Amino acid sequence: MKLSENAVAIKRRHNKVVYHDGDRIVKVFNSTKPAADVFNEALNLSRIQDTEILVPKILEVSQMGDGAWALSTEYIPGITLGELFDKADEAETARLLDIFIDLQVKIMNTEAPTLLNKQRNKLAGMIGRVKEIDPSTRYDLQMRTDRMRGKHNICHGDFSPSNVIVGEDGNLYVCDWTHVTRGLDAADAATTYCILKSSRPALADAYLDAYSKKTDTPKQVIDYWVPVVAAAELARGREREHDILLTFIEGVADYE
Amino acid sequence: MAEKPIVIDSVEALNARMKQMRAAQAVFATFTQEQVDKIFYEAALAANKARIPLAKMAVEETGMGLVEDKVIKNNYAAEYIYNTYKDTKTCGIVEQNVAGGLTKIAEPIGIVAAVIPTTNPTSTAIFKCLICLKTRNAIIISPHPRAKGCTIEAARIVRDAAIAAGCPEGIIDWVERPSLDLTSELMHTADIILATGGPGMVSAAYSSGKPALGVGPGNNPAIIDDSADIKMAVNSIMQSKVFDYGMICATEQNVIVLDKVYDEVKAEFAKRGCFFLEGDDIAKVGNTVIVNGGVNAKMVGKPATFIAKAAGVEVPSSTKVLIGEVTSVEPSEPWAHEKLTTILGMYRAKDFDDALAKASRLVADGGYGHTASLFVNANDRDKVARHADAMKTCRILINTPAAQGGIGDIYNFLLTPSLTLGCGSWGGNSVCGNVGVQNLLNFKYVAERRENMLWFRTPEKVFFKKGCMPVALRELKDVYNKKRCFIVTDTFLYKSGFTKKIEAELDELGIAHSSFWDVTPDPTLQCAQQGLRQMRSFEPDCMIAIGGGSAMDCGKIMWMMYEHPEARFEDMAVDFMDIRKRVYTFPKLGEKVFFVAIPTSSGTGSEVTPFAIITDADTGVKWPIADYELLPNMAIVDTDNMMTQPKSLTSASGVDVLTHALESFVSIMASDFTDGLALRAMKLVFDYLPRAYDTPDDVEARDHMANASCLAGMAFANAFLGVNHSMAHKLGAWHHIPHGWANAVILTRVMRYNSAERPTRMGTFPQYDHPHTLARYAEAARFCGVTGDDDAEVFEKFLVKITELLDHVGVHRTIAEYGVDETYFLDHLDEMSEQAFNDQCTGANPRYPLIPEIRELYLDAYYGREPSTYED
Repeated sequence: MKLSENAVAIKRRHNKVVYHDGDRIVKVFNSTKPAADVFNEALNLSRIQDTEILVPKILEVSQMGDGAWALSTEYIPGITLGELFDKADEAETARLLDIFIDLQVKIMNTEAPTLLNKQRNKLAGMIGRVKEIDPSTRYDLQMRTDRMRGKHNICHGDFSPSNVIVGEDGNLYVCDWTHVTRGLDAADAATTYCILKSSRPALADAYLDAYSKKTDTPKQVIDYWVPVVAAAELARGREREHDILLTFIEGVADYE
Repeated sequence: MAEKPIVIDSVEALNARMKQMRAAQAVFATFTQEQVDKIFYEAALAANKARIPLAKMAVEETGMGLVEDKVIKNNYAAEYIYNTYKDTKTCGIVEQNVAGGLTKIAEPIGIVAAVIPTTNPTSTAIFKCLICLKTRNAIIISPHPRAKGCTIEAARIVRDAAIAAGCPEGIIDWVERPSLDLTSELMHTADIILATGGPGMVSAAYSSGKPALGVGPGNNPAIIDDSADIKMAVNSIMQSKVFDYGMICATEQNVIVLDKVYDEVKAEFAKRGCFFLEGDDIAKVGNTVIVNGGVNAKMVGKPATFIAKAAGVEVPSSTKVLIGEVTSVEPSEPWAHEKLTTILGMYRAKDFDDALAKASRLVADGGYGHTASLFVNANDRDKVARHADAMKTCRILINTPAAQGGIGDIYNFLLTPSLTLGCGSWGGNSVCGNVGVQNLLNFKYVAERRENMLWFRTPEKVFFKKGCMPVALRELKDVYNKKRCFIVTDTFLYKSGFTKKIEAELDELGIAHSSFWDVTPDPTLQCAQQGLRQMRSFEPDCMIAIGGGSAMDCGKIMWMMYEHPEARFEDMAVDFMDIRKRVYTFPKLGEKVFFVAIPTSSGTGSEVTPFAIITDADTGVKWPIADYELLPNMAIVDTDNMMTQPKSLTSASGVDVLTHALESFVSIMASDFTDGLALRAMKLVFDYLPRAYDTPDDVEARDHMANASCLAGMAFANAFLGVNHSMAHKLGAWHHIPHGWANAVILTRVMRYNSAERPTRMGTFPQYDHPHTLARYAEAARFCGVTGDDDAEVFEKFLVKITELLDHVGVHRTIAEYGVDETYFLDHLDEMSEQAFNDQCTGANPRYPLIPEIRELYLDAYYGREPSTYED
């Protein structure tokens, strides 16, 4: 695949650059990104696009000239919820939060494709890679993941306002399905809470409060998963979130 | 040469080691109780001796708890467990009831996967190793990474002592480097999991697919009632709370104090070294110990001063427990949680109900199934009971320090000592008590065939011989001193003067009497109620039912209703499989009224049976009532009362007697006691029924028929009847064929059906061990004078003899001949067949009938078809 001359870089991350190229979005990963990860993301997306959830459809997975992998999807004209939150006043923020949570719950309640990865395995694996956490704590956190067994909600795994596009057609589209799994909804809410806590701290507690009420889930149930998902998030190596995630894990242990 | 033990440091190593251990355990499983007890003794002793070094190691490695308290836990795990189980049989036969034929054999389960918590890393290891040794199981321990050194050392000490005492190598081992993969592989490959740990660990144990004994967290709320001994209560809680710095899961996490004694309790806590936090300090400490809704590992099992310092609160250096006075019992309140350290929440309750409500909520906040405490005046049983009723916990401790009390045998000597406390289904556990050796054994119950105890019951007095009635009646006065007698009979007999003889005798004895003579054939409930009204106004102390089955049945029902107006027929009439095991218990009869039954026909035997049938005329429902309470107190069989029976009654009741005798003889419940009666009764019928039928005033024949009826009655009162009666009951109900003839018209067909050597199903009763009804019929036939080369021939000739008798007394050969309309018969055949199957008499039949088989029998008997073999 080649990018056209009109391609514009719209996001740069430590492992990828995202381009807007005409009617497509192209994620160009750096050359160290394993092919398996890229195909896994493409596979996740193709599984999700078979459900009722609206997503930018997958178009292509291919190699760039330098051997790096690229994944291209539809371009959805619109604006992200993240951008809308940025300029919203208090009343608007509450309205957007409502939309945001309703969409997340809708995704969670959509029947999950049976071949999606299991949240329990994914999180236990991610936690296992985080060597900076004390091994005993890691063991306790991995043991906790057993309680996700038997739950089959679609868990986006990175559900944040910047991954929701309000399309010009008025529909809501959800992108970035790299971390989607089948698992426990409360744990996915804990993930969103952790992401918000580092990216939009003002919104995080309001989110937890509203999610708890909307879904009739006690906050303690979500709290139980915060250290687990925070430990897994650390595996992604995002520096910006590093310190706050560590505070969630402080003093965790599983006692009788 | 023995294989070298493999160190378990990878999944492959675990699987290889498991193989070695399985082989070792197979050898261990053959050890005798004596060998096992020696190993158990030496292992317990070694653990006991190591109590101090192990305690030191545990505190050093985990940084939690107090050495001196851990010494007690280690000592307890060795000494108390040994003491409790030293004489417990865990090998081979552990219980045997020779008479009852039940042997209980204990066998080991195999390999136990044991998860050991950080809070009790050495004592729980000792405990689990010891109970595995005692039960001949192998154990692989998965220690917690934070406590693996001391846990492994505890296991090593027990293992080495066990091996020195003769235990095979490979019975106790551990995972050297615990990890998620190893722990889950262990759980998947062991035979049972003994998991003590946090919710994640216990969940993993249960979801491994292997049987698991998992136990969970507690959140013990202690109520101090205003009736409690305050000094004892406060100091008990203190003693428990400071023990190992609050790490025992049964420990009080909150105290709920009744308003009336709140200040006194507070003063006592303060006096004994508790520090009451004030203002923001309460939240500071709460949020230091509880983080993200869970307990902060850094605060678990620490002294109060350490926690205060961590929270930035200044307290005196002598502080033993930090108390936060809080109001909310919701989980959003950190103090409402399990804290496993030296801080205690304190609530004020306005009354006992308020205290129970708060305690219930705290239990729900994370301690379902574990432990709840109450300090109260122990004489206030009402409060103790209400508390027990309200708490959803498996341990409820009264006036007891919970840490030491919950583990058992220290403050109560009937609560099993254990360091693994089950929380029942409330806590998501498979066990609800204190886990012990019984949980680690497979029991085989060897149940040998035994026969039921049988019985023989009959009225206290049975008088017989022509002319005996007036003599027998004298006993009412002379022996029983009765004053008021109620007579029940039917209109015909009353008008024929049967009761006059009785009334005259009673007059002579000075016994007041009153007669009810409206009993109808197939007596109704309404009829009995009418008589009952008369009976109630008369208030008798004895009653005489004279007549055929109807009068005696109606009398029995009136007797029941008079003595027990509360009893309900729909309950009494419920079918039973075994009269001794029936759900309904009959009320006692005879306490107000002495019951005398006098038959006037030779047929039903009701004077000596515990049966009665009553029909509700409003609904048409027939209630067959059966219970030995309905057995008359006295039966008077006087041939003088039977001399005027019309021919049709002689015939019908006579063949009824024959059916009673034959069915009770082949019943699955027939015994030596009933056999003699049945055989004699049937022989008398063959010999005397034709004479009584042909010559109604033949006294000798009447006399023998009267006795035959009563003998057969006693036989079936104890051995019961069979499907012949079941089918006859329905022929009577649907087609109004007189009962005796309804029996007779199907009798030989049912006998052939019962005699099948290859029945579809045989009756179920221990003594009926193979289909042998043909032989029984042949035995009966020979007694009645039939001869032949073999049972089959004798049986065929017996059927001929019976058919000749039936013909002689005018019994028709088919149901059709009784004027039963074919269309009506066929239209109701299915319903009738099912009802016959469901009749109470069916259960004792030697062949368990299928409904279609009953249907075929009815059809054969209706049309007079050639009988089939009735085999499949």
